[in-house]
Amino acid sequence: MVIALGCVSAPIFASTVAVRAEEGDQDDIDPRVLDNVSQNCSSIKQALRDLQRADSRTRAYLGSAYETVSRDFITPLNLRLVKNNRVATKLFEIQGDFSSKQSDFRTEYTAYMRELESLIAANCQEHPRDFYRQLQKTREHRAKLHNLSEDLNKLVSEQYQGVKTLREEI
Amino acid sequence: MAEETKANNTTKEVMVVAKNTTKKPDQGARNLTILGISAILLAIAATGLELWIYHESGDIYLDRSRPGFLPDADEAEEETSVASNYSYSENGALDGKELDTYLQELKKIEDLLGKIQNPYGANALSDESLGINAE
Repeated sequence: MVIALGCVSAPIFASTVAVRAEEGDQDDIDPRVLDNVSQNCSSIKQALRDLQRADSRTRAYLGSAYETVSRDFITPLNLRLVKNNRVATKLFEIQGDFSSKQSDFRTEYTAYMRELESLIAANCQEHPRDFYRQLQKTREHRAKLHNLSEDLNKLVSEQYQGVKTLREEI
Repeated sequence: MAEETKANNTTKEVMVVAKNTTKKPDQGARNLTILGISAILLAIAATGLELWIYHESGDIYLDRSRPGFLPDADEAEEETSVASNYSYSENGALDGKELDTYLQELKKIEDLLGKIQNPYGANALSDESLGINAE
């Protein structure tokens, strides 16, 4: 029984090890890129620090704009519509979407900044492969953040169009 | 004989009391020192834990990017927030003129948002931008 179990599990174990070995060898990173990472480590780090500061400023700018739109435009208008017994389904939907995306933006920004900080702290001179993997992870978060900011900007435009339509009805 | 024993016992009691009385100030000072050191260590541990939680939760990144919280002088001088003096009132009847003003003010915000071209675009972290492309 034990021998049978061993005979079954051994090839499974061996194949798992083989797959992991293959994955380690083929991580699709060009060795020239890794060389460049290692050689230009200090300039890369400086560029990332500058980017971190710029991204903080962008977040402050966008965050305050989104907060202004939500607090001073979307919410009070919808409250007034409700108080006047006016149904504006599209505008109410925009409010829900905007609030949700705003929260996602905050969460994703935090996640992105955390990855960027880990990237800046990584040792790109001695461990360029690990650094590059972290860079790829950071890129994914940045892309999500980009999509969320685009979605929020689009919702602001939709709000404008929605209110314009409402104005024409009055 | 009994009186002598009694006197000896009293003397012994006095000596024990004297011994205990002599011990108390040293013991009190030691306890106070231990209390002080414990309080300092507890404060350090609590502060360390708070800072760790602050960092792990991500609030540090949000605070770091709030208008007015940017620490460097050049950052503080730049326009980092979109401020608007306008706020649409939630009370009152629906008025055409008010909605016209609403649209004007909202358009300003939209234009300000448009000033940031391609926010968090992919280019900033590309291999080319970082100087690590294979070519």
